[in-house]
Amino acid sequence: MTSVRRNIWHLGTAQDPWHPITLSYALGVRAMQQLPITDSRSWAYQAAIHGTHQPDKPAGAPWNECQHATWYFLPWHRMYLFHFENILRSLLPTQRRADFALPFWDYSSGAPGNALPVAFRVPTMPDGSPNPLFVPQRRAAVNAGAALPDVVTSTASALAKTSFTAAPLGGDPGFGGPRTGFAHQGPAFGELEAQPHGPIHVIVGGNTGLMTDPDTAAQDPIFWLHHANIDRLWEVWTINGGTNPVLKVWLDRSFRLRAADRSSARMKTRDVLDTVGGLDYTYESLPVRAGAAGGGRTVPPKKPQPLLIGTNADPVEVSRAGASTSIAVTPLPEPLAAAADPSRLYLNVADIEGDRNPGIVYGVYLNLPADAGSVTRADHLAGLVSFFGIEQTGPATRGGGHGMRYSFDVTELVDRLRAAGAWEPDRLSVSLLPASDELEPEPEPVAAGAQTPVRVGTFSLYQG
Amino acid sequence: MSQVRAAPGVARARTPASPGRLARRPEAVPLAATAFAWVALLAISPLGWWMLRGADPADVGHTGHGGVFTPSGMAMLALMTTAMMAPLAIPGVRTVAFTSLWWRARRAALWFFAGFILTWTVIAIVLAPFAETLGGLLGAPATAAGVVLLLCAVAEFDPRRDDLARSCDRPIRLRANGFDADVDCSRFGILSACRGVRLCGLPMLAMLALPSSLLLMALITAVSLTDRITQSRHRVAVAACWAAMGAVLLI
Repeated sequence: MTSVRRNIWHLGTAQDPWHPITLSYALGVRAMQQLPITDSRSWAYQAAIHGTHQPDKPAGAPWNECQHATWYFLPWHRMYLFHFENILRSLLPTQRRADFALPFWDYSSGAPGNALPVAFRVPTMPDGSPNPLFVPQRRAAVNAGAALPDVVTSTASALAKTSFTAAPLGGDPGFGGPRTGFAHQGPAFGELEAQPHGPIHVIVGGNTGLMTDPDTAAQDPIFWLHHANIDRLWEVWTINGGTNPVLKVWLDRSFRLRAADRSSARMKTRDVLDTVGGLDYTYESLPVRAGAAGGGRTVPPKKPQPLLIGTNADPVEVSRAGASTSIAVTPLPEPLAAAADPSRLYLNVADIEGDRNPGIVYGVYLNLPADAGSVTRADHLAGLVSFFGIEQTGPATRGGGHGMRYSFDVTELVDRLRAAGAWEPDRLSVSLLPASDELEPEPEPVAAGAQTPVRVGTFSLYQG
Repeated sequence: MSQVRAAPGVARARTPASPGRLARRPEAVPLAATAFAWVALLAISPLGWWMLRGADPADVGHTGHGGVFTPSGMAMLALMTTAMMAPLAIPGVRTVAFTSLWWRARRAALWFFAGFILTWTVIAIVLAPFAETLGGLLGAPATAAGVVLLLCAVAEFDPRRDDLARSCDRPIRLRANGFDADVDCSRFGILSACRGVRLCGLPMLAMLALPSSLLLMALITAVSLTDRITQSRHRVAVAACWAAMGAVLLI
């Protein structure tokens, strides 16, 4: 029977969050945590598949293999969740296995769903034993039940994307990420990974929490519900007509994981595209597919490579309060720009490097007035940067590092700014500011003085 | 849809009227250089090998690289290097062009390519005497090339190979304008070539061990390119190709 992954906020109530499925998840996590790391079903081993700081790994262990900033981001995490769910189910008491499916956390559903689920905030289980779903290494406000800001949880820009992938430089980031080879940390984020995926990691983890660093993120039990939601959003996007790549290089790429029987499991991307037929699970409350399965929009026409029309002069260090810079723009010649219609404008934030995530989600604003309040800010917002994975961007990191790049389609924003008289054709200012004042600020890390700040090498504007 | 339209007089005087095709198709630079190099090699063969050897055209049996350090020998080596390595510059050329301002994308691509090819030519000049020595030690240039190709097959299974391949294309920050930007582009080309030595040094050595075989050079280029394009997904097949070529030469 096809299992149904359900919204955690539909399981139980705020007063009694221990629905049988939530309780099964907690019992399964506890069982995994009790296994030694040498067992591929253990909590530590499974988390290390995503990433680990441990320098030594068992021979043949597929550790540090999560795919980020690449078009394999979504299929790899789907495979990862599939095997994790099977392992967890296999460790449950027999009578709990049939009904269990990994829940998801739909933080974009408004209150109360935009707060960390109650079962993850209480230190003890109903029987008084320690709750394995509660970890103190999270942002204190999130563990206290604060609502996540709408600006962070929004899925609108991701679900509006029409193409899955795109060239990694300059233009439309696509829904799923740029075309790359195997990439533990690739060159640029797809729209869904840029938001809400990365910001949720960082807003939950804060300065020093598990979720903020890819090498520790999967140790937090909420990680798996967050990624179940990301997986669900991919399913929503395809049902609404989004078209996955059809290239063999994407479909036939295989990845190594570990199955519930401890065996090595290889899966290809094409194996995980049909969740019901291939993996035997679905999500509750999915939209109804229009037309036959696999139908929908045709593959979008290939767009011309956008051209760089403006960039900043010098790299910028981003403090906890943010940063700002200006971009000198040399527009495309009028006939060419007109001929390229409908052309789009993309703001790129690139060549980002840093040793450690500051635990802050920054909004990227265009031409923001100095005295702008939070309402005015929203009118200038181009997108969010969370720097999730920044630890992997340096040249000395695994894989040689690759910098980090965000690309935001700012076409409509520029139109609005022009209409409001807040646009100059040859210069624009870019500001990075903490995206939300709604959550109480985290204290500075103890060793803040020794911490290298995040450096953003390039802010640039593309047209095409 | 939005357009960024220039204010009157803005930036118009110092920029070209059109980005041209090269701004969007910068790979045309290495592709054109590759085509030119192959046509030239085919046209001047076999005279070119004698130039490389520094020998009289009548001295067909001479196998030395003494002519490498003459202008004509270096030109020949540059031609061979361009024929073999220029296609591998395509990812870097695209990165440089697309991260440079549109009106200097062509220039950026050319600076990168110049840095890349000149560096590989220097590497080839350094490797040529080694190739000759290897041929002397093993008795024949074909044997030396065969042995190096077998080493290429073994190197396919180097566990660090994927990381090395990824680091080849790791971008650097390019300054936006002026001489500084040109320097950055050529520096990136030099860096990219140097990073590639551990991946492409052995195939280059094999080519230099038997420089008179255009067929071998073409096959080495094709296999190297396939390995890069497929991002080592078919390393067993690529290793088999290297081994087969090596075995043929040894037999």
